Amino acid sequence: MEEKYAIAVREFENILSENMKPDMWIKLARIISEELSKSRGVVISHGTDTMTYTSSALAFMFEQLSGPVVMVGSQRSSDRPSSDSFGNMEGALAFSSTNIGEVGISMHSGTSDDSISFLRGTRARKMHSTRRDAFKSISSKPIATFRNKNVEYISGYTERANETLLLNKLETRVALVYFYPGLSGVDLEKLSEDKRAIIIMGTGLGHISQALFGSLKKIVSNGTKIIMTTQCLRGTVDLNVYSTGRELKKIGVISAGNMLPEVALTKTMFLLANNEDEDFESLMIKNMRGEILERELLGDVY
Amino acid sequence: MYISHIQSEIKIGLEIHLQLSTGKLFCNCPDMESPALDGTFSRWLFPTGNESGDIDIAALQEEKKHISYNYKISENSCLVEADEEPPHRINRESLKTAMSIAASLNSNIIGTVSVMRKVVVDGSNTSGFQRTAIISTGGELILNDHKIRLTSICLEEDSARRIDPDDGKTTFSLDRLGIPLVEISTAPDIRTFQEAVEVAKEIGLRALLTGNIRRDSDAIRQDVNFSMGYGRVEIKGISKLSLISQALQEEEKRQGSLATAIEIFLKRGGFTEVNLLDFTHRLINSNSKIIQKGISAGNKIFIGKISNMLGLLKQGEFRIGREISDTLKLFSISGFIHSDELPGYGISQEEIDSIRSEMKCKENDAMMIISITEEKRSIAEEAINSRIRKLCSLDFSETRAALEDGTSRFLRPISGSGRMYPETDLPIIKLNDELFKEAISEVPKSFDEAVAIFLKKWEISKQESEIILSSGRKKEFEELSGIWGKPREVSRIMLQFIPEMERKFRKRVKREDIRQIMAGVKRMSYGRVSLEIAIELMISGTDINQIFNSDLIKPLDAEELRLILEDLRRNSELRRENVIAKVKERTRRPIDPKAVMEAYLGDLH
Repeated sequence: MEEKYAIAVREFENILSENMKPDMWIKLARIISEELSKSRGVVISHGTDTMTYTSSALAFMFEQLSGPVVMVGSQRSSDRPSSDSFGNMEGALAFSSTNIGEVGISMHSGTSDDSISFLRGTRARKMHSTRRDAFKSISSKPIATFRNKNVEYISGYTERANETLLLNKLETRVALVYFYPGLSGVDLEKLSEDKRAIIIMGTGLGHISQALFGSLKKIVSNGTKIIMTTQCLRGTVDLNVYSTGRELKKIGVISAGNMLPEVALTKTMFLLANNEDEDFESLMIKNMRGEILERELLGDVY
Repeated sequence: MYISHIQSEIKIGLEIHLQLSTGKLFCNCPDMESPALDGTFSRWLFPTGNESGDIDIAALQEEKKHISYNYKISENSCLVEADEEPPHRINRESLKTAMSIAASLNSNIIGTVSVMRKVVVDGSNTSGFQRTAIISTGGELILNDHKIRLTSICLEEDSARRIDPDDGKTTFSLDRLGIPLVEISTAPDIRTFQEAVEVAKEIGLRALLTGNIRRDSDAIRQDVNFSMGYGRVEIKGISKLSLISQALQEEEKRQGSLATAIEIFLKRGGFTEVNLLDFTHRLINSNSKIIQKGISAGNKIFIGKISNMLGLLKQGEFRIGREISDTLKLFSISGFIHSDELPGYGISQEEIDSIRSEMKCKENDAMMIISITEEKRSIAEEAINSRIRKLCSLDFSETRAALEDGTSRFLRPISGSGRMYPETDLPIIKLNDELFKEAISEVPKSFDEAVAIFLKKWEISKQESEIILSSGRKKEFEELSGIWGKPREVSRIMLQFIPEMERKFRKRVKREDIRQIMAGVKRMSYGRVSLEIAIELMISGTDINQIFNSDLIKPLDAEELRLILEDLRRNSELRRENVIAKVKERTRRPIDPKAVMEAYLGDLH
């Protein structure tokens, strides 16, 4: 690999990815921005556990990119001969020398070592705790794959821009709440205290128990925004189909559409820090970085 | 001519591997044979530095082969075998069995077991290492008044089984991967080839008494360590006891001839580096099929001069040619033609003379012709030169693979100490008192003692007890007796009826199926005859659920019996002596002779 690419290595933080925090995303974004002014692309090695939180946060913070930002990890540590890190890294370096101007993730396409996928940072999710092919592009295809030493493009992407534009602020007073039968209004209100927004992972089309509506109203009246996502991960939130949804809408709950819950979280953090409050809802439902699928196809990607 | 070596120089040690029938070691998959599923996946392996930073020499050797490995998924494999999930906790029953075997060989069981990773990058382990744990150290075996010391007993996971690649790719099945293996190693105390066989046999028998050894053709495999003064050679994977002695004889012969050949080689002037020169243009019009085939496949034809080697590559007992070609095979180079085989392979004397003169070959110089791609030239040169250099040092130490005919082939250099490092995915296991108690209670003392205890407990014959114990079927017998409740009938069915049916239908029956059939027939409260019919139906290919619903296994009831007797009486002369035979002629279904007799006598009254 050293023969093919000129590589400069820079240490960021040596931590387990579960210990990442939003302020580190900002620090990382600054370093990327700096490096992109000198390099064709940037590869970030990152623990897999919170890699998609980082990838989506970075994706939002970069209004435009002068080169690919490729995150890479491994599901089998590199102290074992069967580690997937070598293949993932080889793919990452190949993706980093393309003309893609997006943040993505370079990990195994399947259990075999013969194909590495480049997944859009705002659609990727870790779907398995141990497998090499844990990372999937939910309800959509990867941007590209690397096989037989070649990058093959699979779906459309944003090309790199002449220069990188970074908006390096994030609002951290945001919470992500998983609804379950029995969730109490008291708990929900406590979680929402001092928050500018909460993202709820509701059931099905985006529902939560009607017993919580009183609490929701209180939360909204305090000025906290409520964004609804779905625990199904695949498919969209739609608050028009059932009466529960319609009532939620009346209360002021904002639908995140088919955005992934964690992505709705980082997007909210980004929007609240960089935009006027009144633009929030319109931007939330606007597809900014490929986080919202305009069409979900009946194909092989479910 | 081959120099005979005095026996006292010979040192032999054994490593005996026994597969356990306790389920896999680090997951919940069964250890049984199972059909392959459709899926295949492929992997690369990369030797990694261990904690001290060395990369093991054997591991490096494999890496030079540049191979991607294919794995066929089997029904008895899960994410653990695919190296897609960390190992589960160690199989307790396997641990106990290893402890029992250790205790029976007076080996000292250690209090805490740490699982280690032994780097193996030949593809036979998806992880690139084999998990192994020392269970005990020391111990001894006394055979014909001679003490053979043991060095250690380990519990490890078996490797994946290589299956014949039809597409030229190295392919393994996951079915054997992860089956527990108990490895018993002896010190090099064995003095003769025959003694090696006896030691292997005795250790195998002790282990079989636990009843937890798999019954399969390669469930017991022996590795032999042999030295006659030229370094330690390890011959791996001898599956039959009878081949141990033969493998040792062949190895003694091989090393003896090699030593003599090298002596001649050195006297003539010894080793000069071999360079492979491109002769493709010169041989483009050759009549040799091998050469033409190579050229049309895109290969080049290289010629190398091996100074002083003429007559030593393949003549009389000298076989240095095979030593070189075995090494080349590791790099997927199928072989070469050398001067001891020429003229031949369609290569004319004229061509040979011309090449020899161009290569400035002297009288004793050999030459080799090899058809490979340009990329493989330097790999081949290095392989050839390093092999000859090693032989010249008269250090023959290496790891070899046993072949069916008693000979062996070069596998890799002897593994270095850099191969082991801790398995960080598993906690250290403390062997608690309870485990010790259970393990010790199952320790087989001697075979005779074990037989005496067994036949008293189950009230079966001595002969049956001996067969069951020496074939390692104790657990199977106990389990089936538990289901069926009549040990004598179980013994008869296991040792006579099933083998008879297996011969009749030329099929092996699965232990799990027998268990199921027995439990089913027992639930219906049918007797032995029904059970035998059910087993026969199963082995002949009838679906198990269909068997349970079949009338064929249902004994005749009183009414059915009465009707048959009535009919028989009308059409034939029925006597007390022939009534059972007559009824049997009328039906394939199970009958109770006592019930027939009662019905017959009852009708008379």
